[in-house]
Amino acid sequence: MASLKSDKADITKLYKELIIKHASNPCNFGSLKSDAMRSTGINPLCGDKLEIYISTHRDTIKKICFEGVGCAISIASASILTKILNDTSIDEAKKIASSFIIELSSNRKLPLIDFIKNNEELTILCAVKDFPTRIKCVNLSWQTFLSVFDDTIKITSTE
Amino acid sequence: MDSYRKDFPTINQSINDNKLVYLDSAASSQMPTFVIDEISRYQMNDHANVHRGIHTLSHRATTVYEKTRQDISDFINANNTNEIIFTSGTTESINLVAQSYCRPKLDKNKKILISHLEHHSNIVPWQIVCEQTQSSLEVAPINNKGEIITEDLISMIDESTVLISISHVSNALGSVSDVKKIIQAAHKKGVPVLVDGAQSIPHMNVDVEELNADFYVFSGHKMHAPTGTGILFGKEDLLEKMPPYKSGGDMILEVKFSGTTYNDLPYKFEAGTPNISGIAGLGAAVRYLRKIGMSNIESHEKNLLNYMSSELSNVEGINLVGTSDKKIGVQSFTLENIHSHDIGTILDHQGVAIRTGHHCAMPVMEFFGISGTARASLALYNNEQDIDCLVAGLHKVNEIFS
Repeated sequence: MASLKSDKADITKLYKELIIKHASNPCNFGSLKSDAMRSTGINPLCGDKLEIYISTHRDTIKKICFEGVGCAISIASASILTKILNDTSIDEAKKIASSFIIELSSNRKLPLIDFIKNNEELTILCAVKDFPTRIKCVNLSWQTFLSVFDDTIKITSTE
Repeated sequence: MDSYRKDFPTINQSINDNKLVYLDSAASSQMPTFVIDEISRYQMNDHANVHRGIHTLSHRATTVYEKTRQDISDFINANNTNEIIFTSGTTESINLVAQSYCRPKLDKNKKILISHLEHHSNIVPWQIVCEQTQSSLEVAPINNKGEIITEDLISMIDESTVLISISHVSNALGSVSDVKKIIQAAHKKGVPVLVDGAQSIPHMNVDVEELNADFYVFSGHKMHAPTGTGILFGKEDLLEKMPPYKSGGDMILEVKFSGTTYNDLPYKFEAGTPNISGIAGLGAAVRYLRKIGMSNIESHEKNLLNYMSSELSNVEGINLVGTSDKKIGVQSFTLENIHSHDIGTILDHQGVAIRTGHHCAMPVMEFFGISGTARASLALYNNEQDIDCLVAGLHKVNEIFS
Protein backbone atom coordinates (compact mmCIF):
# COMPACT_ATOMS: atom_id res chain seq x y z
CA MET A 1 0.00 0.00 0.00
CA ALA A 2 1.36 3.40 -0.96
CA SER A 3 1.66 5.50 2.15
CA LEU A 4 2.92 9.00 2.66
CA LYS A 5 3.08 10.18 6.25
CA SER A 6 1.06 13.35 6.53
CA ASP A 7 2.55 16.32 8.35
CA LYS A 8 -0.53 18.45 7.81
CA ALA A 9 -1.98 20.71 10.46
CA ASP A 10 -4.55 19.02 12.67
CA ILE A 11 -7.92 19.84 11.12
CA THR A 12 -9.82 19.14 14.32
CA LYS A 13 -7.66 21.59 16.22
CA LEU A 14 -8.01 24.24 13.52
CA TYR A 15 -11.79 23.98 13.53
CA LYS A 16 -12.16 23.70 17.29
CA GLU A 17 -9.68 26.40 18.28
CA LEU A 18 -10.60 29.02 15.76
CA ILE A 19 -13.02 28.36 12.91
CA ILE A 20 -16.14 27.30 14.79
CA LYS A 21 -15.83 30.06 17.37
CA HIS A 22 -15.91 32.70 14.64
CA ALA A 23 -18.30 30.95 12.24
CA SER A 24 -20.98 30.35 14.85
CA ASN A 25 -20.82 33.87 16.24
CA PRO A 26 -19.03 36.09 13.71
CA CYS A 27 -17.67 39.51 14.68
CA ASN A 28 -19.13 42.55 12.93
CA PHE A 29 -21.78 40.61 11.01
CA GLY A 30 -24.21 43.03 9.40
CA SER A 31 -24.37 45.96 7.02
CA LEU A 32 -23.63 49.68 7.16
CA LYS A 33 -25.84 52.42 5.83
CA SER A 34 -25.87 53.20 2.16
CA ASP A 35 -23.14 55.87 2.09
CA ALA A 36 -20.52 53.38 3.31
CA MET A 37 -17.92 51.99 0.92
CA ARG A 38 -18.75 48.43 -0.04
CA SER A 39 -17.70 45.55 -2.23
CA THR A 40 -19.04 42.13 -3.20
CA GLY A 41 -17.04 38.91 -3.38
CA ILE A 42 -18.14 35.58 -4.78
CA ASN A 43 -16.72 32.11 -5.11
CA PRO A 44 -18.69 30.87 -8.15
CA LEU A 45 -17.63 27.25 -7.72
CA CYS A 46 -19.13 26.88 -4.27
CA GLY A 47 -21.69 29.68 -4.16
CA ASP A 48 -20.13 31.65 -1.29
CA LYS A 49 -21.06 35.32 -1.38
CA LEU A 50 -19.82 38.10 0.91
CA GLU A 51 -20.48 41.80 1.11
CA ILE A 52 -17.96 43.98 2.94
CA TYR A 53 -18.87 47.47 4.21
CA ILE A 54 -16.40 50.10 5.38
CA SER A 55 -16.78 53.56 6.81
CA THR A 56 -13.67 55.72 7.10
CA HIS A 57 -12.65 58.90 8.82
CA ARG A 58 -9.71 60.67 7.21
CA ASP A 59 -7.20 57.84 6.52
CA THR A 60 -8.55 55.42 9.11
CA ILE A 61 -11.09 52.59 8.96
CA LYS A 62 -13.66 53.48 11.60
CA LYS A 63 -16.09 50.64 11.08
CA ILE A 64 -15.93 47.49 8.98
CA CYS A 65 -18.58 44.77 8.78
CA PHE A 66 -19.68 41.99 6.48
CA GLU A 67 -22.64 39.83 5.65
CA GLY A 68 -23.17 36.86 3.40
CA VAL A 69 -23.24 33.09 3.13
CA GLY A 70 -20.41 30.61 3.04
CA CYS A 71 -18.66 27.70 4.68
CA ALA A 72 -17.36 27.94 8.22
CA ILE A 73 -13.84 28.75 6.99
CA SER A 74 -14.91 31.66 4.79
CA ILE A 75 -17.20 33.13 7.46
CA ALA A 76 -14.51 32.74 10.14
CA SER A 77 -11.93 34.39 7.89
CA ALA A 78 -14.21 37.37 7.24
CA SER A 79 -14.97 37.63 10.94
CA ILE A 80 -11.25 37.70 11.83
CA LEU A 81 -10.61 40.27 9.09
CA THR A 82 -13.18 42.70 10.46
CA LYS A 83 -11.95 42.19 14.00
CA ILE A 84 -8.35 42.91 13.05
CA LEU A 85 -8.76 45.78 10.62
CA ASN A 86 -11.17 47.92 12.59
CA ASP A 87 -9.54 51.16 13.59
CA THR A 88 -6.39 50.72 11.53
CA SER A 89 -5.14 53.13 8.88
CA ILE A 90 -6.25 52.28 5.36
CA ASP A 91 -2.63 51.94 4.19
CA GLU A 92 -1.73 49.59 7.04
CA ALA A 93 -4.90 47.53 6.51
CA LYS A 94 -4.17 47.13 2.80
CA LYS A 95 -0.60 46.09 3.61
CA ILE A 96 -1.79 43.46 6.09
CA ALA A 97 -4.39 42.11 3.67
CA SER A 98 -1.92 41.92 0.76
CA SER A 99 0.73 40.19 2.88
CA PHE A 100 -1.78 37.70 4.21
CA ILE A 101 -3.01 36.82 0.70
CA ILE A 102 0.58 36.39 -0.51
CA GLU A 103 1.40 34.24 2.52
CA LEU A 104 -1.62 31.99 1.86
CA SER A 105 -0.92 31.65 -1.84
CA SER A 106 2.79 31.02 -1.61
CA ASN A 107 4.21 27.53 -1.69
CA ARG A 108 7.25 28.67 0.18
CA LYS A 109 7.51 29.43 3.85
CA LEU A 110 8.00 33.18 3.75
CA PRO A 111 9.02 35.19 6.76
CA LEU A 112 5.72 36.50 8.10
CA ILE A 113 5.34 40.21 8.49
CA ASP A 114 5.33 41.21 12.10
CA PHE A 115 1.64 41.96 12.25
CA ILE A 116 0.66 38.46 11.12
CA LYS A 117 3.34 36.85 13.25
CA ASN A 118 2.13 38.71 16.34
CA ASN A 119 -1.54 37.97 15.74
CA GLU A 120 -2.43 34.57 17.12
CA GLU A 121 -5.63 34.09 15.15
CA LEU A 122 -4.04 35.01 11.80
CA THR A 123 -1.14 32.68 12.50
CA ILE A 124 -3.54 29.82 13.22
CA LEU A 125 -5.58 30.66 10.11
CA CYS A 126 -2.39 30.31 8.02
CA ALA A 127 -2.64 26.56 8.73
CA VAL A 128 -5.28 26.42 5.98
CA LYS A 129 -2.28 26.41 3.62
CA ASP A 130 -2.14 22.69 4.39
CA PHE A 131 -5.59 22.29 2.81
CA PRO A 132 -5.05 23.79 -0.65
CA THR A 133 -8.65 23.30 -1.79
CA ARG A 134 -9.80 25.62 1.02
CA ILE A 135 -7.37 28.53 0.52
CA LYS A 136 -9.96 30.25 -1.67
CA CYS A 137 -12.45 30.14 1.21
CA VAL A 138 -10.05 32.11 3.40
CA ASN A 139 -8.96 34.45 0.60
CA LEU A 140 -12.43 35.55 -0.46
CA SER A 141 -12.96 38.15 2.28
CA TRP A 142 -9.41 39.51 2.08
CA GLN A 143 -9.57 39.97 -1.69
CA THR A 144 -13.00 41.54 -1.36
CA PHE A 145 -11.66 43.90 1.29
CA LEU A 146 -8.88 45.11 -1.05
CA SER A 147 -11.37 45.60 -3.88
CA VAL A 148 -13.28 48.14 -1.77
CA PHE A 149 -10.41 50.54 -2.53
CA ASP A 150 -10.09 49.56 -6.20
CA ASP A 151 -12.64 51.25 -8.44
CA THR A 152 -11.77 48.98 -11.38
CA ILE A 153 -13.20 45.88 -9.63
CA LYS A 154 -16.97 45.56 -9.55
CA ILE A 155 -17.26 42.06 -8.12
CA THR A 156 -14.36 40.07 -6.72
CA SER A 157 -14.27 36.44 -7.81
CA THR A 158 -11.94 33.76 -6.53
CA GLU A 159 -11.94 32.14 -9.99
CA MET B 1 -17.52 -8.26 -6.07
CA ASP B 2 -14.80 -7.48 -3.53
CA SER B 3 -12.32 -9.47 -5.62
CA TYR B 4 -12.41 -6.73 -8.26
CA ARG B 5 -11.36 -4.05 -5.78
CA LYS B 6 -7.73 -5.10 -6.02
CA ASP B 7 -7.80 -4.35 -9.76
CA PHE B 8 -7.83 -0.63 -8.98
CA PRO B 9 -4.40 0.60 -7.85
CA THR B 10 -5.59 4.12 -6.97
CA ILE B 11 -8.01 2.77 -4.40
CA ASN B 12 -5.22 0.99 -2.58
CA GLN B 13 -3.41 3.85 -0.87
CA SER B 14 -3.62 5.94 2.24
CA ILE B 15 -4.66 9.59 2.37
CA ASN B 16 -3.87 11.72 5.39
CA ASP B 17 -2.68 8.62 7.26
CA ASN B 18 -5.98 6.82 6.69
CA LYS B 19 -6.98 4.17 4.20
CA LEU B 20 -8.50 5.90 1.16
CA VAL B 21 -12.27 5.55 0.91
CA TYR B 22 -13.20 6.72 -2.58
CA LEU B 23 -16.84 7.74 -2.78
CA ASP B 24 -16.60 10.23 -5.66
CA SER B 25 -16.97 8.01 -8.72
CA ALA B 26 -19.88 10.09 -10.04
CA ALA B 27 -17.34 12.89 -10.55
CA SER B 28 -14.72 10.57 -12.03
CA SER B 29 -14.15 6.85 -11.65
CA GLN B 30 -10.86 5.05 -11.10
CA MET B 31 -9.19 2.89 -13.74
CA PRO B 32 -8.40 -0.81 -13.32
CA THR B 33 -4.92 -2.07 -14.16
CA PHE B 34 -6.47 -3.81 -17.18
CA VAL B 35 -7.24 -0.39 -18.72
CA ILE B 36 -3.97 1.25 -17.67
CA ASP B 37 -2.05 -1.69 -19.16
CA GLU B 38 -3.91 -1.48 -22.46
CA ILE B 39 -3.11 2.23 -22.78
CA SER B 40 0.50 1.47 -22.00
CA ARG B 41 0.60 -1.48 -24.42
CA TYR B 42 -0.92 0.62 -27.19
CA GLN B 43 1.47 3.50 -26.53
CA MET B 44 4.54 1.23 -26.41
CA ASN B 45 3.69 -0.89 -29.45
CA ASP B 46 1.01 0.42 -31.76
CA HIS B 47 0.91 4.19 -31.75
CA ALA B 48 0.60 6.11 -35.01
CA ASN B 49 -2.11 8.26 -36.53
CA VAL B 50 -5.36 6.57 -37.52
CA HIS B 51 -6.89 6.24 -41.01
CA ARG B 52 -3.92 8.02 -42.57
CA GLY B 53 -0.76 5.99 -42.98
CA ILE B 54 -0.29 2.93 -45.10
CA HIS B 55 2.37 1.63 -42.75
CA THR B 56 1.93 -1.14 -40.19
CA LEU B 57 1.71 1.04 -37.07
CA SER B 58 -1.01 3.19 -38.58
CA HIS B 59 -2.92 0.03 -39.43
CA ARG B 60 -2.52 -1.25 -35.86
CA ALA B 61 -3.62 2.06 -34.33
CA THR B 62 -6.64 2.11 -36.63
CA THR B 63 -7.48 -1.45 -35.65
CA VAL B 64 -7.38 -0.61 -31.93
CA TYR B 65 -9.46 2.53 -32.50
CA GLU B 66 -12.11 0.79 -34.57
CA LYS B 67 -12.22 -2.17 -32.21
CA THR B 68 -13.35 0.18 -29.45
CA ARG B 69 -16.09 1.47 -31.75
CA GLN B 70 -17.28 -2.11 -32.24
CA ASP B 71 -17.04 -2.81 -28.49
CA ILE B 72 -19.13 0.27 -27.69
CA SER B 73 -21.65 -0.60 -30.38
CA ASP B 74 -22.06 -4.10 -28.90
CA PHE B 75 -22.11 -2.75 -25.33
CA ILE B 76 -25.11 -0.48 -25.87
CA ASN B 77 -26.69 -2.60 -28.63
CA ALA B 78 -26.44 -0.07 -31.46
CA ASN B 79 -27.35 -1.20 -34.97
CA ASN B 80 -23.86 -0.73 -36.31
CA THR B 81 -20.65 1.20 -35.79
CA ASN B 82 -21.78 4.10 -38.00
CA GLU B 83 -23.95 5.09 -35.05
CA ILE B 84 -20.98 5.46 -32.68
CA ILE B 85 -19.18 8.82 -32.80
CA PHE B 86 -16.10 9.42 -30.66
CA THR B 87 -16.11 12.75 -28.84
CA SER B 88 -14.18 14.24 -25.93
CA GLY B 89 -17.04 13.51 -23.51
CA THR B 90 -20.71 13.94 -22.74
CA THR B 91 -20.44 17.73 -22.92
CA GLU B 92 -19.08 17.70 -26.46
CA SER B 93 -21.66 15.12 -27.51
CA ILE B 94 -24.51 17.35 -26.32
CA ASN B 95 -22.99 20.42 -27.96
CA LEU B 96 -22.67 18.47 -31.20
CA VAL B 97 -26.35 17.57 -31.23
CA ALA B 98 -27.36 21.10 -30.20
CA GLN B 99 -25.43 22.73 -33.01
CA SER B 100 -25.61 20.12 -35.75
CA TYR B 101 -29.05 18.55 -35.31
CA CYS B 102 -31.09 21.25 -33.56
CA ARG B 103 -29.74 24.60 -34.71
CA PRO B 104 -30.87 24.28 -38.36
CA LYS B 105 -34.36 23.23 -37.20
CA LEU B 106 -34.88 25.92 -34.53
CA ASP B 107 -36.57 29.29 -34.96
CA LYS B 108 -38.66 31.63 -32.82
CA ASN B 109 -41.65 29.30 -32.95
CA LYS B 110 -39.72 26.20 -31.84
CA LYS B 111 -38.49 24.90 -28.51
CA ILE B 112 -36.16 22.47 -26.76
CA LEU B 113 -37.50 20.59 -23.73
CA ILE B 114 -35.29 19.61 -20.79
CA SER B 115 -35.94 18.94 -17.10
CA HIS B 116 -35.16 20.71 -13.84
CA LEU B 117 -32.90 17.80 -12.89
CA GLU B 118 -30.18 18.39 -15.48
CA HIS B 119 -26.43 18.90 -15.15
CA HIS B 120 -25.20 22.27 -16.45
CA SER B 121 -23.83 20.49 -19.52
CA ASN B 122 -27.40 19.55 -20.42
CA ILE B 123 -28.66 23.10 -19.84
CA VAL B 124 -26.12 25.59 -21.15
CA PRO B 125 -25.67 24.16 -24.70
CA TRP B 126 -29.46 24.48 -25.07
CA GLN B 127 -29.52 28.02 -23.71
CA ILE B 128 -26.87 28.97 -26.25
CA VAL B 129 -28.54 27.37 -29.27
CA CYS B 130 -31.93 28.81 -28.24
CA GLU B 131 -30.39 32.26 -27.98
CA GLN B 132 -28.74 31.83 -31.37
CA THR B 133 -32.09 30.95 -32.96
CA GLN B 134 -34.52 32.99 -30.82
CA SER B 135 -36.23 29.75 -29.86
CA SER B 136 -37.30 28.84 -26.34
CA LEU B 137 -36.04 26.42 -23.72
CA GLU B 138 -38.73 24.80 -21.60
CA VAL B 139 -38.02 23.03 -18.33
CA ALA B 140 -40.14 20.17 -17.02
CA PRO B 141 -40.63 20.18 -13.23
CA ILE B 142 -39.38 17.77 -10.55
CA ASN B 143 -40.99 16.67 -7.29
CA ASN B 144 -39.73 16.73 -3.70
CA LYS B 145 -38.14 13.30 -4.05
CA GLY B 146 -35.96 14.67 -6.87
CA GLU B 147 -37.74 12.89 -9.72
CA ILE B 148 -38.80 14.29 -13.08
CA ILE B 149 -42.62 14.48 -13.07
CA THR B 150 -42.98 12.33 -16.16
CA GLU B 151 -46.63 13.19 -16.87
CA ASP B 152 -45.88 16.92 -16.73
CA LEU B 153 -42.92 16.53 -19.06
CA ILE B 154 -45.02 14.51 -21.51
CA SER B 155 -47.79 17.12 -21.42
CA MET B 156 -45.24 19.78 -22.46
CA ILE B 157 -44.39 17.96 -25.71
CA ASP B 158 -46.06 19.55 -28.74
CA GLU B 159 -45.51 20.16 -32.44
CA SER B 160 -43.07 23.00 -31.69
CA THR B 161 -40.70 20.65 -29.80
CA VAL B 162 -37.54 19.98 -31.80
CA LEU B 163 -35.84 17.76 -29.22
CA ILE B 164 -36.18 16.52 -25.64
CA SER B 165 -32.90 16.20 -23.74
CA ILE B 166 -32.95 14.46 -20.35
CA SER B 167 -30.56 12.57 -18.13
CA HIS B 168 -31.05 8.85 -17.59
CA VAL B 169 -29.68 9.17 -14.04
CA SER B 170 -29.32 12.47 -12.16
CA ASN B 171 -25.71 13.26 -11.27
CA ALA B 172 -26.69 15.25 -8.18
CA LEU B 173 -29.34 12.94 -6.74
CA GLY B 174 -29.05 9.58 -8.50
CA SER B 175 -32.73 9.50 -9.53
CA VAL B 176 -33.40 7.20 -12.49
CA SER B 177 -35.80 8.77 -14.96
CA ASP B 178 -38.39 6.80 -16.89
CA VAL B 179 -36.72 7.55 -20.20
CA LYS B 180 -38.45 4.69 -22.00
CA LYS B 181 -41.90 6.09 -21.25
CA ILE B 182 -40.79 9.61 -22.19
CA ILE B 183 -39.31 8.38 -25.48
CA GLN B 184 -42.51 6.47 -26.35
CA ALA B 185 -44.63 9.55 -25.68
CA ALA B 186 -42.25 11.80 -27.61
CA HIS B 187 -42.18 9.51 -30.64
CA LYS B 188 -45.97 9.51 -30.79
CA LYS B 189 -45.65 13.21 -31.49
CA GLY B 190 -42.67 12.74 -33.81
CA VAL B 191 -40.17 14.31 -31.39
CA PRO B 192 -36.69 12.77 -30.97
CA VAL B 193 -35.05 12.33 -27.55
CA LEU B 194 -31.45 12.71 -26.42
CA VAL B 195 -30.57 10.77 -23.26
CA ASP B 196 -27.62 11.95 -21.17
CA GLY B 197 -26.20 8.64 -19.98
CA ALA B 198 -23.10 9.94 -18.18
CA GLN B 199 -24.30 8.60 -14.83
CA SER B 200 -26.11 5.49 -16.05
CA ILE B 201 -23.59 3.82 -18.34
CA PRO B 202 -21.14 2.52 -15.67
CA HIS B 203 -23.91 1.25 -13.39
CA MET B 204 -26.61 -0.52 -15.42
CA ASN B 205 -27.43 -2.31 -18.65
CA VAL B 206 -28.12 0.23 -21.37
CA ASP B 207 -29.79 -0.99 -24.54
CA VAL B 208 -30.37 1.90 -26.95
CA GLU B 209 -32.52 -0.25 -29.21
CA GLU B 210 -34.83 -1.30 -26.40
CA LEU B 211 -35.05 2.30 -25.15
CA ASN B 212 -35.48 3.44 -28.76
CA ALA B 213 -33.32 6.49 -27.90
CA ASP B 214 -32.50 8.77 -30.81
CA PHE B 215 -29.28 10.02 -29.22
CA TYR B 216 -27.50 8.53 -26.21
CA VAL B 217 -24.38 10.26 -24.88
CA PHE B 218 -21.79 9.40 -22.24
CA SER B 219 -18.20 9.89 -21.03
CA GLY B 220 -15.31 7.45 -20.75
CA HIS B 221 -13.98 8.70 -17.44
CA LYS B 222 -17.18 7.85 -15.57
CA MET B 223 -16.84 4.22 -16.74
CA HIS B 224 -13.25 3.48 -15.67
CA ALA B 225 -11.71 4.78 -18.92
CA PRO B 226 -9.51 7.86 -19.44
CA THR B 227 -10.70 11.46 -19.40
CA GLY B 228 -11.12 13.14 -22.78
CA THR B 229 -13.08 10.26 -24.28
CA GLY B 230 -16.79 10.18 -24.90
CA ILE B 231 -19.49 8.80 -27.11
CA LEU B 232 -22.36 10.12 -29.14
CA PHE B 233 -24.70 7.36 -30.19
CA GLY B 234 -27.18 8.57 -32.79
CA LYS B 235 -29.63 6.75 -35.02
CA GLU B 236 -27.98 6.43 -38.40
CA ASP B 237 -30.76 8.15 -40.36
CA LEU B 238 -30.55 11.20 -38.08
CA LEU B 239 -26.75 11.38 -38.15
CA GLU B 240 -26.76 11.03 -41.97
CA LYS B 241 -28.77 14.21 -42.35
CA MET B 242 -26.75 16.27 -39.89
CA PRO B 243 -24.01 18.65 -41.09
CA PRO B 244 -20.48 18.35 -39.61
CA TYR B 245 -20.03 20.03 -36.23
CA LYS B 246 -16.32 20.72 -36.44
CA SER B 247 -14.12 20.61 -39.50
CA GLY B 248 -10.61 19.57 -40.43
CA GLY B 249 -8.78 16.40 -41.38
CA ASP B 250 -10.40 12.94 -41.50
CA MET B 251 -13.93 14.30 -41.89
CA ILE B 252 -13.57 14.90 -45.60
CA LEU B 253 -13.60 12.77 -48.74
CA GLU B 254 -12.25 15.41 -51.10
CA VAL B 255 -11.13 18.98 -50.60
CA LYS B 256 -11.07 21.47 -53.45
CA PHE B 257 -11.13 25.23 -53.14
CA SER B 258 -14.36 25.10 -55.09
CA GLY B 259 -15.91 22.90 -52.38
CA THR B 260 -15.40 19.96 -50.06
CA THR B 261 -17.13 16.61 -49.93
CA TYR B 262 -17.65 15.31 -46.42
CA ASN B 263 -16.69 11.85 -45.32
CA ASP B 264 -19.23 9.16 -44.45
CA LEU B 265 -20.39 8.25 -40.97
CA PRO B 266 -18.94 8.08 -38.41
CA TYR B 267 -15.88 10.01 -39.62
CA LYS B 268 -17.93 13.04 -40.70
CA PHE B 269 -18.05 14.06 -37.04
CA GLU B 270 -14.48 13.17 -36.08
CA ALA B 271 -12.33 15.98 -37.47
CA GLY B 272 -8.73 16.14 -36.30
CA THR B 273 -6.49 13.50 -34.77
CA PRO B 274 -8.52 11.91 -31.99
CA ASN B 275 -7.53 10.77 -28.48
CA ILE B 276 -6.36 7.37 -29.76
CA SER B 277 -4.71 6.04 -26.60
CA GLY B 278 -7.74 7.19 -24.60
CA ILE B 279 -10.01 5.34 -27.00
CA ALA B 280 -7.79 2.25 -26.61
CA GLY B 281 -8.39 2.54 -22.86
CA LEU B 282 -12.12 3.04 -23.37
CA GLY B 283 -12.30 -0.22 -25.32
CA ALA B 284 -10.48 -2.03 -22.51
CA ALA B 285 -12.87 -0.50 -19.94
CA VAL B 286 -15.88 -1.80 -21.85
CA ARG B 287 -14.35 -5.28 -22.09
CA TYR B 288 -13.60 -5.15 -18.34
CA LEU B 289 -17.18 -4.12 -17.46
CA ARG B 290 -18.66 -6.80 -19.73
CA LYS B 291 -16.43 -9.43 -18.16
CA ILE B 292 -17.85 -8.60 -14.72
CA GLY B 293 -21.36 -8.23 -16.14
CA MET B 294 -23.48 -5.10 -15.87
CA SER B 295 -26.26 -7.00 -14.05
CA ASN B 296 -23.78 -8.05 -11.34
CA ILE B 297 -22.54 -4.47 -11.01
CA GLU B 298 -26.10 -3.14 -10.86
CA SER B 299 -27.23 -5.51 -8.13
CA HIS B 300 -24.02 -4.99 -6.08
CA GLU B 301 -24.43 -1.21 -6.22
CA LYS B 302 -28.14 -1.41 -5.48
CA ASN B 303 -27.49 -3.33 -2.25
CA LEU B 304 -24.72 -0.94 -1.35
CA LEU B 305 -26.85 2.14 -2.00
CA ASN B 306 -29.62 0.75 0.19
CA TYR B 307 -27.08 0.11 2.93
CA MET B 308 -25.59 3.60 2.51
CA SER B 309 -28.92 5.43 2.56
CA SER B 310 -30.09 3.50 5.59
CA GLU B 311 -26.82 3.98 7.53
CA LEU B 312 -26.70 7.67 6.65
CA SER B 313 -30.24 8.23 7.84
CA ASN B 314 -29.06 7.39 11.39
CA VAL B 315 -26.50 10.20 11.44
CA GLU B 316 -27.53 13.07 13.70
CA GLY B 317 -28.73 16.21 11.90
CA ILE B 318 -28.68 14.60 8.45
CA ASN B 319 -31.11 15.45 5.71
CA LEU B 320 -31.09 13.10 2.71
CA VAL B 321 -31.58 15.02 -0.53
CA GLY B 322 -32.99 12.92 -3.36
CA THR B 323 -35.21 10.19 -1.98
CA SER B 324 -36.57 8.53 -5.10
CA ASP B 325 -37.29 4.80 -4.87
CA LYS B 326 -35.51 4.41 -8.17
CA LYS B 327 -31.96 5.54 -7.66
CA ILE B 328 -28.52 4.47 -8.74
CA GLY B 329 -25.14 4.97 -7.13
CA VAL B 330 -25.61 8.35 -5.44
CA GLN B 331 -26.76 9.72 -2.11
CA SER B 332 -26.75 13.47 -1.54
CA PHE B 333 -27.21 14.92 1.92
CA THR B 334 -26.78 17.95 4.14
CA LEU B 335 -25.91 18.17 7.83
CA GLU B 336 -27.80 20.72 9.87
CA ASN B 337 -25.92 24.04 10.13
CA ILE B 338 -22.75 22.62 8.58
CA HIS B 339 -21.62 23.75 5.13
CA SER B 340 -20.87 20.91 2.72
CA HIS B 341 -17.28 22.10 2.15
CA ASP B 342 -16.54 21.82 5.85
CA ILE B 343 -17.94 18.27 5.75
CA GLY B 344 -15.74 17.52 2.74
CA THR B 345 -12.54 18.81 4.33
CA ILE B 346 -13.05 16.98 7.62
CA LEU B 347 -13.91 13.73 5.79
CA ASP B 348 -10.85 14.14 3.55
CA HIS B 349 -8.73 14.43 6.65
CA GLN B 350 -9.97 10.93 7.50
CA GLY B 351 -9.24 9.63 4.00
CA VAL B 352 -12.86 9.76 2.82
CA ALA B 353 -13.29 11.39 -0.61
CA ILE B 354 -16.73 12.73 -1.46
CA ARG B 355 -17.99 15.58 -3.65
CA THR B 356 -19.38 18.75 -2.11
CA GLY B 357 -21.11 21.80 -3.54
CA HIS B 358 -23.68 22.21 -6.27
CA HIS B 359 -22.45 19.32 -8.47
CA CYS B 360 -22.87 21.45 -11.63
CA ALA B 361 -26.61 21.27 -11.05
CA MET B 362 -27.43 24.65 -9.51
CA PRO B 363 -31.13 24.57 -10.49
CA VAL B 364 -31.52 21.33 -8.50
CA MET B 365 -29.95 22.98 -5.45
CA GLU B 366 -32.19 26.01 -5.91
CA PHE B 367 -35.23 23.72 -6.03
CA PHE B 368 -34.34 22.31 -2.63
CA GLY B 369 -33.45 25.77 -1.29
CA ILE B 370 -29.82 24.89 -0.53
CA SER B 371 -26.45 26.09 -1.85
CA GLY B 372 -25.04 22.59 -2.11
CA THR B 373 -24.91 19.09 -0.73
CA ALA B 374 -22.38 16.49 0.26
CA ARG B 375 -22.61 13.63 -2.24
CA ALA B 376 -21.31 10.10 -1.75
CA SER B 377 -21.27 8.08 -4.97
CA LEU B 378 -20.54 4.43 -5.62
CA ALA B 379 -18.78 2.25 -8.14
CA LEU B 380 -18.20 -1.47 -8.47
CA TYR B 381 -15.12 -1.35 -6.20
CA ASN B 382 -16.91 0.04 -3.14
CA ASN B 383 -17.99 -2.11 -0.21
CA GLU B 384 -19.83 -1.83 3.11
CA GLN B 385 -16.64 -0.94 4.98
CA ASP B 386 -16.41 2.20 2.82
CA ILE B 387 -19.87 3.22 3.96
CA ASP B 388 -18.97 2.50 7.59
CA CYS B 389 -15.92 4.79 7.25
CA LEU B 390 -18.14 7.52 5.76
CA VAL B 391 -20.60 7.26 8.62
CA ALA B 392 -17.80 7.27 11.21
CA GLY B 393 -16.38 10.33 9.47
CA LEU B 394 -19.71 12.13 9.68
CA HIS B 395 -19.93 11.39 13.40
CA LYS B 396 -16.54 13.08 13.67
CA VAL B 397 -17.83 16.11 11.71
CA ASN B 398 -20.74 16.40 14.12
CA GLU B 399 -18.41 16.04 17.08
CA ILE B 400 -16.14 18.85 15.83
CA PHE B 401 -19.10 21.14 15.25
CA SER B 402 -20.87 20.25 18.50
